[in-house]
Amino acid sequence: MGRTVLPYSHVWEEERSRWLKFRRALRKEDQVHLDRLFELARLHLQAGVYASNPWPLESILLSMLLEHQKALSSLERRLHSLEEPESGVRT
Amino acid sequence: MKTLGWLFDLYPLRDRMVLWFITCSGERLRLEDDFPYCLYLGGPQARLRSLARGLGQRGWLRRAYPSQGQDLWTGREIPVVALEVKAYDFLPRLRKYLGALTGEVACYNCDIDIAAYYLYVRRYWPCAWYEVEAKDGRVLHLEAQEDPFAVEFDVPPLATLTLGLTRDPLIPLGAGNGLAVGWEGRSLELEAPDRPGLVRELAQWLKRANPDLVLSDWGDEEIIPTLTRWSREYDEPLPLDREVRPAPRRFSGGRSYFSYGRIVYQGSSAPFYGRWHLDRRNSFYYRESGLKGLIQIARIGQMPLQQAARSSPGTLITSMQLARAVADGILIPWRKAEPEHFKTAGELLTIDKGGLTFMPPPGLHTHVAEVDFASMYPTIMTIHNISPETVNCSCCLGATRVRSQGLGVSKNVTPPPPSVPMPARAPALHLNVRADSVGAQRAVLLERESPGKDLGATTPPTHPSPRRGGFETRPYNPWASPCPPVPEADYRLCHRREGLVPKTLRPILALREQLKARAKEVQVEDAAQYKERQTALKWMLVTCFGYLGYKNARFGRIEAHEAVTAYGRDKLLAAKEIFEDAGFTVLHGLTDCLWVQKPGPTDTGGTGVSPVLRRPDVQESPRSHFREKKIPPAPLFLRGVQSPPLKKGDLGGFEVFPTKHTNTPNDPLKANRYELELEDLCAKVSGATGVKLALEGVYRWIYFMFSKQDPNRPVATRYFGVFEDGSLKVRGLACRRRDTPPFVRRAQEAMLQKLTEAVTPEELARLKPELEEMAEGFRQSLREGGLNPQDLVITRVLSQKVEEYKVDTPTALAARQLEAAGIPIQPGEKVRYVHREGKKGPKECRVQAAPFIETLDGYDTQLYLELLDRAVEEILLPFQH
Repeated sequence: MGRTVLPYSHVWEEERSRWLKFRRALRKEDQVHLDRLFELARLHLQAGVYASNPWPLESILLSMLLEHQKALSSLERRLHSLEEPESGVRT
Repeated sequence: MKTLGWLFDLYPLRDRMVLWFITCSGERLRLEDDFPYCLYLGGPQARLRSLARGLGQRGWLRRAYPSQGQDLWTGREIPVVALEVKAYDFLPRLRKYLGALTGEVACYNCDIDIAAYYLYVRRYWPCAWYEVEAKDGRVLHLEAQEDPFAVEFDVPPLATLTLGLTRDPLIPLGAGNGLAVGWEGRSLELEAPDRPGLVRELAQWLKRANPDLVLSDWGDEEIIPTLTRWSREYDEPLPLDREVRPAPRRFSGGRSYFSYGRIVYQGSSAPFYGRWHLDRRNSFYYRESGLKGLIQIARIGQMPLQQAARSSPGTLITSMQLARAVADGILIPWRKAEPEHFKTAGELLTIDKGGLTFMPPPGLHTHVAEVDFASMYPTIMTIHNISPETVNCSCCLGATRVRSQGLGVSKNVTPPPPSVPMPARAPALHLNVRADSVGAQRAVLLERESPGKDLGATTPPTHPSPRRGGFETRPYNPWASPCPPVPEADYRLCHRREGLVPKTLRPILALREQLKARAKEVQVEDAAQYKERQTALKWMLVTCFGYLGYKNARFGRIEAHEAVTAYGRDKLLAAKEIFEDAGFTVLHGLTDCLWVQKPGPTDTGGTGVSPVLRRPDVQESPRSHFREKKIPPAPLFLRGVQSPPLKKGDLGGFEVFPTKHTNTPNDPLKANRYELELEDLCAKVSGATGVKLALEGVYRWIYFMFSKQDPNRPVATRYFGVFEDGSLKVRGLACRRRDTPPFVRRAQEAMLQKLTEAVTPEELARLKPELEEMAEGFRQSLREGGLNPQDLVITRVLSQKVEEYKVDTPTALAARQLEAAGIPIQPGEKVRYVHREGKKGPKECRVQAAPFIETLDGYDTQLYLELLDRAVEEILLPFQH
């Protein structure tokens, strides 16, 4: 274990370094966001391990999307509560 | 002559075994037993015959005869030739000869330790009571008076002499270091004018005390080799053994080897003949589990105690497996020739991995429960019959494969509904497992399917039943259907024979459960011995899994290892699903344990909750705080202003995550109800997975730490928290690290202890000024100086030879100081030193190596302050957000 197949966290690291050139050409203010995206993907490493997809970037992208969906839902809820405070939804 | 005796020590001597008994009347009885070492050869009969004839002519054999035995891999009886060796001295030569043979001839039972082999073959257990029948100093018959797996056992009183050095073990004997002897509660330093005098002095002590047990510190590595050398040089007899003519003593001088990416040093060993010598510094088991634990493992491991004390848990579990194999008539292959089977890259990707590790949300959490699977991997091996010979075995190759009946695999498959009755005459393996250990050990195959029988007839009817979340909570029965394949890996497991590994593990697991239960029943002062023994067994269980995947292990096979981890992942996810279905959120998970938390009643559908919140897909998960960080925090926190005096409900700068409306742990009734619910769920998981899930405890609060590299990144294995009963659990902090100096470790531990006073986050927040005061106190005592140098010692392991160090690291500098003083030091050995001056100082003054620190005149205050601050920072982390 861990000799033939790279640990998933290393795969994540490799994938990130694969996009370093991409990152370099980004504007500085955008680089921060790219870094954050990769960090978000780390939160679901265990799912990536379990799925063991041969194309790890897919798992990584999906993890990023997942965190986005969560953020979106939460913002929607906040917005909803601000627009209609009487609806009783907590923020 | 018949008497009752306790099998104390045993060792091979020329062509027979010598056994020492302590009789019920206190006599030390020496008996001999004739035991020819017997090994087996398999292959073409004509070739074997000529081989046996040739070996006989060399005079190495007592006799050779045709026999048969069971092949490990196929389970079939095969014809072999048995060779009985004339005397044990011929074994190395015979092995060398056989090792050079090419192809066709297979050798079995070639390299088993002689004393252990004797115990396996005769089915004796050391450290147990026997009715001894003897004549003329020879054993006629031994009748066991007790079960080696008994929960209770008696140990006769052992006369114990302690032996130690008066100063640091790195200082050589006779050159500044002295010998200390302890007898009947008194201890004294041996005084002798010269080397032969010292040998004479100790010899007198050994004669006078005639101890059964010599308990030493540094005996193996330093005292005994040195004294033996002197005894030879000055011709001074030293009666270390009770045996009159023991085998000559040789000292290898230790060796360094590589294991799991770390270099390890193993010292030499100096066992005695006819009495025991235990070096407390050279016995993993003595350190972990004391003499009782050691006796326990010697018994069940069927290994002479002195050997058991010096072996690793892996050697012991292997010994038990060998004993099992010998008892079952299985031939033990000499050189394992079972290569890893070819796998596609995709298969490798799917199965070549370990346990699942979740990433916990960093920060403080209240009301978190930790649940652990008890002995997860060994239990998996036992209930699923995982053993090197049972994975994809050839004997079940023709059997019908029922795909994907594995538990919790989220494929669209159709498991048999729980109501389907078992066929009256079930074809699969039946285990007769009784709760008591003897029965457990004798778990037998009640019935075997005849090879020609069509197993397809018993394929369970497949009714479509919808699965939710890929998991179904039906009662667990691994034998309910033939060949449930391993989840993910899809390997077959044998259902005709019970594997060697499960057979070995079952009684250990049973005994450990009994010992744990007994420790809870009895008085606190009596509980210690059961705990010691339980711990000893734990280490064997922990190791047995690693040995499945270890290429040099005798009964290792990577596929079996993969099958175990695959089941482990499956079961952890099954537990996760059951807890989530019950409204819990999973904060953290690590291979065999989960940290779960129940959001407050209002979050799970109390009054006044919008339907939106109840929708599971948008329900706030504990991880949402990563996103919440982007929401501008309150200005107070943003500017890092000191908190104003705390009001009720004010968390004083604490970051507290979701438990908004939990039933607080302060309320005993509610807390109790919470625990009951958790216990219920644990029972449900245990039933569904077949592995016992136990509630480790509910935390008043737990803090999951951030990564050192990136403060936004969670880490899996660094956290600390306090359970409801006030006990601490700490992982990955400075105080757990070996290279933390004792002063810093104690400072951190004191602060952690302070934290246990807090029950709620509010109380915790109030502790901050006190903690800071404590930290300042520790800083002050560092600055003032006058600390004991031992408290500042940093311990590190030498990772390579001293001359190979290219950079002047503190470890290298310390090791060079030792070398210069004539103390050689091997890779894997520990180096201990104190920092004296900062990096600017001359090289030789930067550190001071351990034996020379008694006269230390100062230390690098700045460096130790930094170390202290790092440790303090870890504790203050919860206060910094």
